[in-house]
Amino acid sequence: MSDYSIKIAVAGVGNLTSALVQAIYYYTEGHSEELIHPKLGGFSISDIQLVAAFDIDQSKVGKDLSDAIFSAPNNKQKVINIPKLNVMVNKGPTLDGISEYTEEVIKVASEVDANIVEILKQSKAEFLVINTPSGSNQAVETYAQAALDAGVGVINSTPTKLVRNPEWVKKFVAAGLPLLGDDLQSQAGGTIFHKGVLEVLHEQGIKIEDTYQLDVSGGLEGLTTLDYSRRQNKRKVKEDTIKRSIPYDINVAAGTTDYLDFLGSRRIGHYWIKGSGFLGQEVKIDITMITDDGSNGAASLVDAIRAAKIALARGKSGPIINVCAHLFKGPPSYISRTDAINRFSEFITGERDS
Amino acid sequence: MNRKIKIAIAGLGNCASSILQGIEFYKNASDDVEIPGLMHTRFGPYHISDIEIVAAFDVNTNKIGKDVADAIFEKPNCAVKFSDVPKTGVIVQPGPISDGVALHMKESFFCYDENELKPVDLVQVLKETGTQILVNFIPVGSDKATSLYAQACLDAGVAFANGIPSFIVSDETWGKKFENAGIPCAGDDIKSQLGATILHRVLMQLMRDRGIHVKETYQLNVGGNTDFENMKQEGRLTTKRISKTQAVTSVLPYDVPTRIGPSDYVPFLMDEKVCYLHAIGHNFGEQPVHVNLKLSVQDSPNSAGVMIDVIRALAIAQDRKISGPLLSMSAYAFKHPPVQVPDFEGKERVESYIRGEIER
Repeated sequence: MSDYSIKIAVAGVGNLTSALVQAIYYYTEGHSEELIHPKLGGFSISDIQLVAAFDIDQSKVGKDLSDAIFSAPNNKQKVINIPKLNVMVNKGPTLDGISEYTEEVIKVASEVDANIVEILKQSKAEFLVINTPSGSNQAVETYAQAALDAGVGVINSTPTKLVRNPEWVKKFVAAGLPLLGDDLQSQAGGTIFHKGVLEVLHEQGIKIEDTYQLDVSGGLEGLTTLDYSRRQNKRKVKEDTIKRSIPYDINVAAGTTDYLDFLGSRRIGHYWIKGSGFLGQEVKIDITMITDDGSNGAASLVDAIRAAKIALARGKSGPIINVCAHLFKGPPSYISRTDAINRFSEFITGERDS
Repeated sequence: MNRKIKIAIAGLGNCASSILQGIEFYKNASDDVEIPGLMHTRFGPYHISDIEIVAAFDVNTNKIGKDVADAIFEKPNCAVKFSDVPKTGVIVQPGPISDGVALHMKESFFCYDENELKPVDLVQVLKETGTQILVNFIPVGSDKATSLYAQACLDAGVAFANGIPSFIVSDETWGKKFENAGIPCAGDDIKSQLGATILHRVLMQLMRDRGIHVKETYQLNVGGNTDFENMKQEGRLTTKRISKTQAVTSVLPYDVPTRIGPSDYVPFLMDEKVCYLHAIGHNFGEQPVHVNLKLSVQDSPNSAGVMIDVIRALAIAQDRKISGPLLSMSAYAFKHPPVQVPDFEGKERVESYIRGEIER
């Protein structure tokens, strides 16, 4: 293990965590074609080291992380064999981590809840990555508080408001700990893709009227979002960020529409855009995009983890705005997609301090 | 000169709007030429113009007390207006609310207050107006309200066409009641002219006939009318899912991972309905076949174009003194009939029924 190692604890051992763990081993040898940053601020993906893990599912708790990531209901494909990691999955707090739709799939482990603060301290984790289900607000806040108490930075992959909540921001600033979030934006995810297409149309002078993006997936995240209020919560983040890519008001509907267990970790997005061009003539676009959900999210997560390490090394605390704007759907303040890419690069090279 | 077919409509929403507009739009349609948008200009002896509305029930305060010709253009109705509708002299009356209005729909439906207004006596109105056929177009998930209307039909001797997936015609007990009462009925859950269900069924049938083994399939439907808004609540669409799913899975002799249903409410689509149909199968050498299809259609005219035939099929049944579920028309025109029949065969059976070669 190099001196560059980045010690990570993870809350929620689902498909995203599975893809993260697999990426660490997949990218140790040879592969680098799909990477924007084979090295990011000197760090390789293989420098990421998982030191602690939490989950609530009896199929995962008590197992070595290398086994837990392949335990049902996880269905992210195995792309590489993972050696035993000697990281046992601890029982985390259930709270609102289960919705009425997922309670049949998730069997809560009978173990008593582990002491998160203690485990984080002992593991010497530098960051806690929160990958719990959408809408598990209480669980996310419990983990965030534990991280604060243990002196550990937080990366929030979920749409629960942390970087967008002044109270939490204040706490992390006061503790001198970096905070990244909210709601991870996938590498080739629906939101970034949708924004990109709309921006190109806008640049070309097309007046956009209506657009929607309807996703279906077979990951547990899809099942969680069958719950209407959780779905609306997640949707609002997506729809707001898509609306912001165009300077005038447009009709937007975007988000996970349905859960299809047989899709596994595949996600299928149906995109539609209606606008008008020169002489008021209609422009209509129909797109279908098929991706693997876990991998798609992990691609951004490995960059977020390495950027967080850079921030920590520079002594930065609270939200790192230019990292959040590039890698998350709900950053503390909105920065256009292209600006965010540039600023992120400048942050990495050190041209920008934060 | 034919008799008039006197109908009542329960639920004066977009589907009712499309039917009433259609009656006017096609009133002079010629028998001799192909008329765009119609399966039958003349169905047996009956022309579309033979249909006449004599009663209407709704819970919406924007509609109650108005002539149906005006009420069909009141909010939240958003069906496309393709025809003017002349005044009918038929006033919309308050129908029973029962379970017809979901909690989250009270405002969207402008539902009347039961402390201020009482629903009419359905049986009495049906009798007084001389109604012969009642068309049920109340919101999906209204099982109890549908039972009230079905029972009123039994009591008043009125035929019943059930446009929604509350199972009456396909329910053995209810079916018997209609048969014993000497009253014909057709249902359940209207199948559109060219909707997601018939397209999906035909695609599955085609894959089966061509030896393609279907590995997985889904059908997503989104729209912006109150039908979709109403079904935001998963509990309300249980029967809808059953109806739509069985309609498709019944085509294949083996189990296939399938997901079908109204998937989302996208308000700005209004009465446009969009369906995404996806299927993966294996052909020779178990090689993959992917099918992706998008259907975009105005929702209400799509169902009205079928109901207009159902009404006339029921009129024929009354003329021929046939009672109970009309099996041929139900299989052809509804997603959840008492007996499923392949669609091409279903079409043939309806033609045979019209000619009087089969009884029902």
